[in-house]
Amino acid sequence: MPDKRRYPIPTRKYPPRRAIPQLVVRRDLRHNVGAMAGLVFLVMLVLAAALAPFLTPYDPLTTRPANQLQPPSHYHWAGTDLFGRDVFSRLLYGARISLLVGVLAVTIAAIPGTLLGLLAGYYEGWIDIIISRLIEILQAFPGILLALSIVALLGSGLPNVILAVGIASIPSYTRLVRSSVLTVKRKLFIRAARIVGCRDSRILFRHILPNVLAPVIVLTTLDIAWAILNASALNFLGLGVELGTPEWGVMLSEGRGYLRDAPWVSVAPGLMLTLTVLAINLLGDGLRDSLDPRWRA
Amino acid sequence: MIQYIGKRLLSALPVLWGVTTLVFLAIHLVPGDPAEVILAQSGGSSEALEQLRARLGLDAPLLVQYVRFLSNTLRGDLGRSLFTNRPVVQTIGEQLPHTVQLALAAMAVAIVVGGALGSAAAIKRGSWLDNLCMTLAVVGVSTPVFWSALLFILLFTTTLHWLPATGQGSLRHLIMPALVLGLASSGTIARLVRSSLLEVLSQEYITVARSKGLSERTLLLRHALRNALIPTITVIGLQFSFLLGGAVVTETVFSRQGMGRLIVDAILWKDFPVIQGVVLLSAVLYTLVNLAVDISYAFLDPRIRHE
Amino acid sequence: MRFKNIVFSAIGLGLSLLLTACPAQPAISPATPAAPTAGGKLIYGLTLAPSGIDPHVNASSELGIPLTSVYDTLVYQTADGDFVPGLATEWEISDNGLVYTFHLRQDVTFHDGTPFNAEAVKFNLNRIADPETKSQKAALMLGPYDHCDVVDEYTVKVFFREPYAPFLDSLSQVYLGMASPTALEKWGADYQMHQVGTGPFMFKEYVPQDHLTLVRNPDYNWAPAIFNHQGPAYLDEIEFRFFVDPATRALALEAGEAHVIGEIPPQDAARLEDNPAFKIVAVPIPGQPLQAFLNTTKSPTDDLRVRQALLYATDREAIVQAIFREYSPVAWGPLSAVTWGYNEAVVGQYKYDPARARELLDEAGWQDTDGDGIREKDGQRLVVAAYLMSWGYIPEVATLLQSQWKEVGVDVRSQQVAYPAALEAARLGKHNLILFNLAGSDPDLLRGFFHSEANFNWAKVNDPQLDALLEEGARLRDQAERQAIYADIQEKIMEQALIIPLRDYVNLNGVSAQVQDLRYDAQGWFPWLYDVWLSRSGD
Repeated sequence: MPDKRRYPIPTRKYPPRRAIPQLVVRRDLRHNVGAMAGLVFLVMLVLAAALAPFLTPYDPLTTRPANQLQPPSHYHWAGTDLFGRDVFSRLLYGARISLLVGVLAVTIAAIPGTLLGLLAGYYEGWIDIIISRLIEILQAFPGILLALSIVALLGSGLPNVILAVGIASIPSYTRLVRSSVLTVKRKLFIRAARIVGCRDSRILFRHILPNVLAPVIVLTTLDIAWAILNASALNFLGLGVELGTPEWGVMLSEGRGYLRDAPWVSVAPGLMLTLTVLAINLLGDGLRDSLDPRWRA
Repeated sequence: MIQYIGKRLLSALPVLWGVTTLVFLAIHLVPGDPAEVILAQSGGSSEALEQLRARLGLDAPLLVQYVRFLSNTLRGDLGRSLFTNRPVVQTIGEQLPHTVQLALAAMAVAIVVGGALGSAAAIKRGSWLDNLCMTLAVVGVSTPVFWSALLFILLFTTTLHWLPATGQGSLRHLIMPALVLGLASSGTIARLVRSSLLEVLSQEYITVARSKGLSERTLLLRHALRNALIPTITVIGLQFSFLLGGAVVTETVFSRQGMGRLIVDAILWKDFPVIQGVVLLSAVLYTLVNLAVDISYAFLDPRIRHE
Repeated sequence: MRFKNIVFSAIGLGLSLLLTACPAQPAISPATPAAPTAGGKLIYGLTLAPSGIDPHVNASSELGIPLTSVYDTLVYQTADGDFVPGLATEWEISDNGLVYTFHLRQDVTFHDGTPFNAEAVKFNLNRIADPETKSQKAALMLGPYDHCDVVDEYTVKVFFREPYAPFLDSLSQVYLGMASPTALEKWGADYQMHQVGTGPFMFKEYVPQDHLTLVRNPDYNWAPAIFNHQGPAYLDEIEFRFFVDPATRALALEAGEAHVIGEIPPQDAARLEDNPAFKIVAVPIPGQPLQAFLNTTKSPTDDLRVRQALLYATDREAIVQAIFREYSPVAWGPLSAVTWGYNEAVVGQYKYDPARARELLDEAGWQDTDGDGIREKDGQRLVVAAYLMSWGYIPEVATLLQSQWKEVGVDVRSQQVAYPAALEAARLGKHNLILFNLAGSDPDLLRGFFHSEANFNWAKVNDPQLDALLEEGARLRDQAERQAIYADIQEKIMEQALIIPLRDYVNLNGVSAQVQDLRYDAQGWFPWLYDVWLSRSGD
């Protein structure tokens, strides 16, 4: 949070633009082993996902029933599944899906969630009441239940899963932003901006938003992990992607019946999922620590 | 204070109404006709379908069904399941204890494991133990329940033959699901315990107590931990929502009965009265937990009360 | 690749023919002496928790598994499709087929002491037909039922509005089982928790989703001749438990959590068979095989050539071999091979022939013009919209269909849907393809799927000739005439390529070697637990 004493109002006409400096990642993120490990893993994962066709000779969709449930070998690094598909190449292509789901779902959640939070916190009054009630209604459903209901409502399929997971995490952004705005708007420099006649929209987006953005960025990072987990949970429950899609949750679920004879079919995607989510969480924790030293572990 | 509680309770009413209305609308907009599902099991003509629809009250206009539903709900009658023809209240009453049992057991696991990791980390702050505990916590947070469940089954059932993979009824049936669900939530609790313990340990009264020569052990158990637990407990209350959600997956993987399974099946089969009942219950519980959290905050922080 | 497929086809075909020829029960003779011993408690695993268990009201097949032992039926059906006496000692059918007269056993009492008589039969049938009962299945099985007349204490006449050939088949099933009128009146809507029949076992307790317990009826002395013995049942008690997750069923069986569990996944069945402590009782189920309905009103499956091409492009042997292993026969027509009225003429039709499939698609004007491997016509890609439910290996089968059809240039767009959404999509005709199967011992079940006005007319067929045949099949009394009609119907369905039959449904029951003399009824689903006994040697 800004230190008021550093911004003596009388000497400046406008409050300083403070968006960028606060967002610059502090140097000590580089010394955070966990966050760096997470970052390295994620970079490798993104590369692997992008270069998947060059890293594996097998198409992730082509079935070879005669070659079913082969254990990991020189040819099939992670074995084959019930349909004789190469599990390793499905893992690589699956990374594309999970990363896409994470990023899109969080975009769907963060933008409206932040806007609603800004409005509710800034205007208070009846706008706040309506928004807060809406958010409470959404929150009255446990996260995955809400996502489940939305998928049931819209039908299955990856876009709907992304939407469902996104909508389910809107409330956390709204709540976070609303409470930050309530604090920030009482600060002297906001009052000053109002006194000098700034329009609401300018105050909201130029002065308040940058000041509440840091926690939002941390939440966004951690939320990507949550979104990936929840989307694969939905897929695991059989509500998600189209047939054959190499999504990790689906792969895990497909392999469940063959746990004894072919554990690799479900263990491998679970491991990838855990590692990816772990990497994002480590990076998110590191970001949080370096963006706001008060939260530092 | 009473006034504050009253105000909060009053403000919960529109939320409950909103939730029920939203659910009512949502499930009636979902494609799929329960009468058709029922008939599908035997095959049948279109007139049979119409008859069945009329019998189930599904042929009335949406508004009529809504008013009927609201007035029944207010009278405490949640209707009968379309498929089992048994009262929804009774069905929930049967399933709720199973989920509560699982959630309590999981919570116990989470508090013990999370509390131990969190306090160890806080006491040995900055040491390798701190790092280890916090790494374990983040691993716990990152592991999907359905994967850890699978690994547990692979280890304890397929390989060691120690524990049954599915079902319920005995303590042995409860161990794996409670561990899986509890460990998933222990990471969150460990981090929370650590940070609130650190905050408490930096307070002046602790320094005073320490300067008076209290042993570190007494200090920790009598003063620090107790105070650090207050914020933790409120968050544990909020973990209820997480646990109910986690129960959906856990109950599915371990074939346990309970609210999670009840709601998933009801959604898939469009058993309107059951969905409405479960959602209403979950909303009421959520509102109550939230209320409890707010009130405890109000106790802790007088500023909120007067705002 | 091609070569391997051919080898597998041959193996699959050989095995499936072998299975078709085999009797329902594999002859696993235990080393123990065959003299049954009384006593013991059997734990029987069900595969889904039925939504409701009143046989007159609810429709699930699962409820029949326990309740077949609680209720006696008026008639019983043999494996050959003949009807033999049960609670009715004999019966006559009027020449116009509208009146059935039943002569009843005079020595039967319900578990609550209520005597069984003509009034009881009348009470039961009227209860089923009463709209207030909200019957989901039994009322439909009763067909055009009109009313019942009590002639004397042990003679009852049943009247129909029009002739209804499947009536005896219906009567032989637990859904039309005879329940105590006293108990029905006493419990009303809550009867399902307090069921009272005349069968060899008495309903003790039902805790939904948890267990259902039956105890031996010590007074049972009216076993139909179709059973192996007379007098009370051997088992003291039967407890039914639920094992809804296929992936862990075999684990539960091996852990001793149950003596019998149905629908064991094929890969686990193979392992259990290698274990001397277990056996697999594989029961072929009469009715429909797992099949894909092809929508004849939505492009591209509105073109007969496309539908036929899809049939030729489907390598059923490979599918069955990969997913169902050696346990399921390949299906060729709309009825499974063990169904009464099955027409063997369908066998071998549309054998896997991708070259023929390509020819037909070419003829129909579908060509791959842009070289992406998928054919086009008038700018439209050859895409088949599939609606898939999650059970019964439907997603697995569809995965292989998708890759097999891709070989001939057909793309499958699938949507995984819950059952209600699938039914709605199918009714509205949004699908090209939907996979489904329904069990039943009378071929009249085809009427519910292929009659133009049928609720489940998922092929969207509208063929007056087929309608007339299906209606006549339900009316005719002469079994030979019926058989001829259904043979015709099956050929018509395949001529028009309305469905892609995939595999005959076989219920793989995993059974502890301790369990002796376990047999299933003509429906294939319902065990006759009256004759079952537990050998001590397995302990």
